Amino acid sequence: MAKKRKKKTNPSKGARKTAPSARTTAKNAGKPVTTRAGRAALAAATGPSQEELDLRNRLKAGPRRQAGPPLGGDMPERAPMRALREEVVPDPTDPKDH
Amino acid sequence: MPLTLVQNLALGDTATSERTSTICEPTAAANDRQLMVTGNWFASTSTDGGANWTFLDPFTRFPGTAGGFCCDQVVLYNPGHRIWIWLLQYVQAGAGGNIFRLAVCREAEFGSWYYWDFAPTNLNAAWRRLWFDYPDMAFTNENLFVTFNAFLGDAWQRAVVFRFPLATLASGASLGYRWWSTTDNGSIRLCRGPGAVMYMGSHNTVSQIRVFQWADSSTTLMWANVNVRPWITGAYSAPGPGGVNWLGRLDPRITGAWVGNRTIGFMWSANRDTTHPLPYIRVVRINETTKALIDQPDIWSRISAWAYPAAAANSQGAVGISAFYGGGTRHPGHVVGVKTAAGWDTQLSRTSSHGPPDQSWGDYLSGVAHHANGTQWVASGYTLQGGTSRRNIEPRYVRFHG
Repeated sequence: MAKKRKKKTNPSKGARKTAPSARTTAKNAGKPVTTRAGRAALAAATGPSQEELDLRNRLKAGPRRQAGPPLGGDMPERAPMRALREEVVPDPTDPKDH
Repeated sequence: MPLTLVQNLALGDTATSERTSTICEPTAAANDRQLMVTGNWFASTSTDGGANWTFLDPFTRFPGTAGGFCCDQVVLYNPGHRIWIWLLQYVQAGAGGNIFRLAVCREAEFGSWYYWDFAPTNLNAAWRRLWFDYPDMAFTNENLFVTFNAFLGDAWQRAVVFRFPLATLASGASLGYRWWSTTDNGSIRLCRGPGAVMYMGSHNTVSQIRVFQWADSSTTLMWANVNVRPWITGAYSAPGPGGVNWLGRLDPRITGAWVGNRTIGFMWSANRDTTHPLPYIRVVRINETTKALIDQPDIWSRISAWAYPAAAANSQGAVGISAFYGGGTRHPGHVVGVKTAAGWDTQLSRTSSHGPPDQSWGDYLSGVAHHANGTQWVASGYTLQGGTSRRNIEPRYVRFHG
């Protein structure tokens, strides 16, 4: 009778996977500034005029700056398109009028 | 129970002093009779449940700093500590850095704000040219969380997460806080809902989300990657009457996030593809414990686009949303809704009479649970009424239940 060979085991296999993690950093911002006393003296004198806000509005319009690293697969590639075709699409939603 | 709009209020010129923008970015919060709405470039409060509103000037309410008040604001009411929290973003100055201001007032002294300022250099002395943009703010049982992107000029550098103890914000004592930053993910969105763990989300790719979690009891933040059905970004378009494309500024960052009923959810605006003829809202629901994908109940239409979703869980863990709907025969409209067993129950709060001439809308909305009635939500929105000028923007405060 052949001797049963002992199965090699991987010590990490079966062990609970540890989620990636990072330490956070402690800081102190001190006490708050209170605006109750001397409020008028402390406050910024004026805000922008309506014309200045018109200009701000024009400047704010337009494409947004990219706000993160480039996303992988950012182009409509064949594989994602195929997956999209094969997806189970829920029914469309249109809102009731007020 | 069918979706019901308990309150659907427009903020008129007196409430905003006509300091409105077509990129309004409104947020709203409520404490029973006390209400507050912020947006570009106004704040407005009510002490009688919304019958009357008082304009609050974010440019002059506080002492000037950096290059002066800029734009993005977020307001929240925390019922546990009975405090209002108002975040304001300031313009870059000097070497290029800016600050954000975290203002707090107690419910019993509504309007008596005290505040702390935070600059990138508070975190790292070398970050003197960085500036904060695109805030989000939400709380757990014990902490307030704030996220920002940090830019150098127009180039994105990193995302930053702050955690502030609510008890210290309420007491006004010396504020110890914790922070963390990453260069791997941008525009990190915070989940709104009850609990002792803050969950946050950001795209890794167009088919994977990173779900971060930071427990109140921990100084360590953890994350897991979740694969989702692929989606498409690119230049968004949904021309409405007159061919006005109100989505000229839209991008796919996550704008809605919630946690409730052991479910984490994220929402963002995806572009049209082979099965969706117009831009639509991608929705993913993830098991809070295992981080396994539950389902992907997207919100889409054959006749109009959906965009800019915000989300929050109410005290029962159900999700309510605030979003925009428009294109085709419709100018952009503001919609609130709830998730039901059958899908989404949604209703327009108001539809614009015109489209934005500069083809820009957004960039975000807000939704929060209404603390006094745990089954309800409070949402912000806006539409254009009577013209195309930024002064024709009419912000909205909507309270609803499903």
